[in-house]
Amino acid sequence: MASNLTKPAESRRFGLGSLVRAVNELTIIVGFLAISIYLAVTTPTFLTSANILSILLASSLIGIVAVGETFVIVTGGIDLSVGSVVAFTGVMTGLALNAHLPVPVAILVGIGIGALSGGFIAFAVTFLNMSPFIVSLAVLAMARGLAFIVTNGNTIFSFPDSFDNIGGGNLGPFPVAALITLVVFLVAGLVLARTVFGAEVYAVGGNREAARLAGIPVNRTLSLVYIISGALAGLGGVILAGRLDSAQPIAAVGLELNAIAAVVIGGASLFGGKGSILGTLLGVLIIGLINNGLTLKNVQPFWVQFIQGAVIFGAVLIDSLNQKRRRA
Amino acid sequence: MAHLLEMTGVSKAFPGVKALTDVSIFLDKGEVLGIVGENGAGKSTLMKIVAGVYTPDDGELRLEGEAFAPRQPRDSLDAGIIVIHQELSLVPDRSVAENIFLGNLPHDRLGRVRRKALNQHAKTLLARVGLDVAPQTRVRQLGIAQQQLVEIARALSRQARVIVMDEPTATLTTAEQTILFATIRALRSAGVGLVFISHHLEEVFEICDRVVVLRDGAAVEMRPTSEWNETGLIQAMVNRPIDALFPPRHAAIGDVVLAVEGLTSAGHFEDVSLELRAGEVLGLAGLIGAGRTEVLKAIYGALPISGGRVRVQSRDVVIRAPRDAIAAGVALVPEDRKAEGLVLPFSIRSNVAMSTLPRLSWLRTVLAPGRMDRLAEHAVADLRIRASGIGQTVQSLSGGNQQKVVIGRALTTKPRIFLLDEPTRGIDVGAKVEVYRLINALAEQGAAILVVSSDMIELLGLCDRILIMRTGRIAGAVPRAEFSQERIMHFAALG
Ligand SMILES: Nc1ncnc2c1ncn2[C@@H]1O[C@H](COP(=O)(O)OP(=O)(O)OP(=O)(O)O)[C@@H](O)[C@H]1O
Ligand SMILES: [Mg+2]
Repeated sequence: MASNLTKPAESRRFGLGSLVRAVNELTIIVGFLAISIYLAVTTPTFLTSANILSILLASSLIGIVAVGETFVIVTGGIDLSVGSVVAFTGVMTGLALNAHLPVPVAILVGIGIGALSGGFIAFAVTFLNMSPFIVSLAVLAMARGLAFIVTNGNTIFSFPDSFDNIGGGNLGPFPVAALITLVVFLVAGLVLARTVFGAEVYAVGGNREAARLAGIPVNRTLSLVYIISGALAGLGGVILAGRLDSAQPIAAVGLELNAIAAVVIGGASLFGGKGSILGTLLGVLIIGLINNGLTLKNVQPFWVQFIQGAVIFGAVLIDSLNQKRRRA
Repeated sequence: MAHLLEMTGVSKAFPGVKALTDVSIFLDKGEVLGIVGENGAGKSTLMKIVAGVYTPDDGELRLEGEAFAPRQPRDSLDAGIIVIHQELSLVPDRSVAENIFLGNLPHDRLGRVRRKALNQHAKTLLARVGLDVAPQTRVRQLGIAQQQLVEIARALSRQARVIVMDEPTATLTTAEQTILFATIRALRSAGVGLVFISHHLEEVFEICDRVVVLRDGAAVEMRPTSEWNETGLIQAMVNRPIDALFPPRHAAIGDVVLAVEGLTSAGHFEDVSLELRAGEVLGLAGLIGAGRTEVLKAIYGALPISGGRVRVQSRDVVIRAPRDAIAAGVALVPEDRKAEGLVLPFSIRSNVAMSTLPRLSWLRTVLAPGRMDRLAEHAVADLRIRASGIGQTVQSLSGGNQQKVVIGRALTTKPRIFLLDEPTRGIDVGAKVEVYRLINALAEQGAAILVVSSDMIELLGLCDRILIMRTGRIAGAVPRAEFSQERIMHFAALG
């Protein structure tokens, strides 16, 4: 199964491309192991089940959002709004719960609002021909603003237990949130690598004009990726609210940067046409490890910000170097 | 006396392909060396070594007797070697003038670009290559042939000892080609050594002093042009006999399947009407910028129309997007394969499958890799695409083989109407005959074909009828019985 996910619809049996990719995935795995060993040796707490659980939970949120971001980035776009959308959909779900709507309905409210916000970006990108970077930046501010407006800046809390289980509960020995994340990754991996839609996503990202002339529904494909990204951010908002048993308008600030970093570390190119869900999974785990390590080693929060920024810079640098070499 | 440029024992391999094996050639001052060979023979690779894009695995280069080992394009440029690559490399969002002087913009002591001088110089150079556009025009707005002329102007702007032109004429019409040849002759008299790569053999005979044939990565024969004849040259290239360049066609011409009435696309062309019948091959001739490509794109739904209508099989159809055209049984082979035809970093398989993804899937949703493989393998076999396998990325194919991939994909939608824009651009003689055969076979099966070509001989040999466009309008029509180059040029230039 895993090997199926490594191989996107665009599999390359030949040439430099496959070599670079193989090296990349190997590098990620080696990096992952290196960081783990280092943390296991130098900190007493790293290998405790409580710590591993907390890595998994933190990675769940980044992971779900990063899956949506992968679709967007493979088309050559970007969605900066996801962190704010997590906060906004979280508080909307909270408000729905406090209005005594049934739990499943409240969850659908969260996911639906996320999808709507993705639909808004999609409309601006396809029909109004606006740049995804600017549109999603605007939505980042608007969604955050709305989250404050609807809550008056207050935290919303005391949700029913059946809801909190989604974020914090266990099914057998496994955290429910991690299981949901796993399902999201599996489904997304299959969709991107094995379906017509997935192939269209790669084609649109690889060469939009050629895809259009080949008869691929470019606008539909672009719209769907932003809607998927928004809906998954909505799901992230629901899970976060469940885990914290509360929803705050300032939640998930900067989450988009973690998600984008995970996708790019996972081998996707910001130029489009390249990337995979398995890569993103590895990227998410690396980001989770780095964040966890920074906490365990008591690194000052200001430095944490700086280091996360530097990691993103490094990942994007490698991407553009690769791109340059491909051009030559 | 030492040769101007000499390559000895040059070899180059890519993963899975041996592109060049022990090639030795030389070039003297004041001569034009022709290089011919089938698609994938290694012509472009050889010239990329001269340009410093690739370093050879083996062998050496000498420039006027001195060892020369360019490690990057800069080294070759500094040595006065200018290569106009087959795949153009202009910066789309810069002006024509800036592109011409890219890398050596005239500037004052403070480093400010001297716009006026820049545009002035550019104007002179554009006149020399016969391109009538303002130096301030963005390159993005130019067609592929015009871009080609800008590349040539750029080469003229530098002090060159060696100029290599890799298929410069592939998109040029006769008029521009005449100007180009005059330029080449002037450079030759000035002592520059030129390399001219082309699949148009009549051009090679006209302009070259010596011709070398590459086959499967080896230089098989090098002789003065006077010692070659066309049959011998083709024979040396393909190593198998080719009986007729334009095989006969036995197609019954049937009903009108495509009727275009008063089609207008503001700013591109006006009031274009034409009828295309089943089994017919209709040519669209005209100078660069006459609007031929735009007409095809408008019919295909890739360019918005502002008036007129299109009827397919005598039904009014609304074609708003290429998808609609494909659904109506219309296919387009676009002019610019790199920008419009292919996803370069993807495999042959993905590119061929792109138009028929739902059909290659279970329940139109889940891809069936076996079906994709079979489709791509058929395309590779039918069109004799030279590749290490269907997984090879199209960016590593030779230009002609890339073109075949585009044609291969167009065939997958089983169209009844083909819009072919320069379908043999960059294709070798052998492959051209295959494309002509394919066109004939399609016509014989009742398909209708509208072909735009800048190669007059191709239009005359292939078409039942030729329409001529001039500045966005249909200027005339010539039936096969009255075909002559003069007639068509007359309409194209005067109307
Ligand atoms: N970067 C590359 N990676 C892998 N294979 C390559 C690469 N560049 C060229 N090749 C292969 O080398 C061979 C020679 O290619 P080349 O482009 O030199 O042919 P050509 O003679 O210029 O053909 P054409 O007439 O079609 O332009 C081809 O088989 C091609 O697939
Ligand atoms: Mg070539």
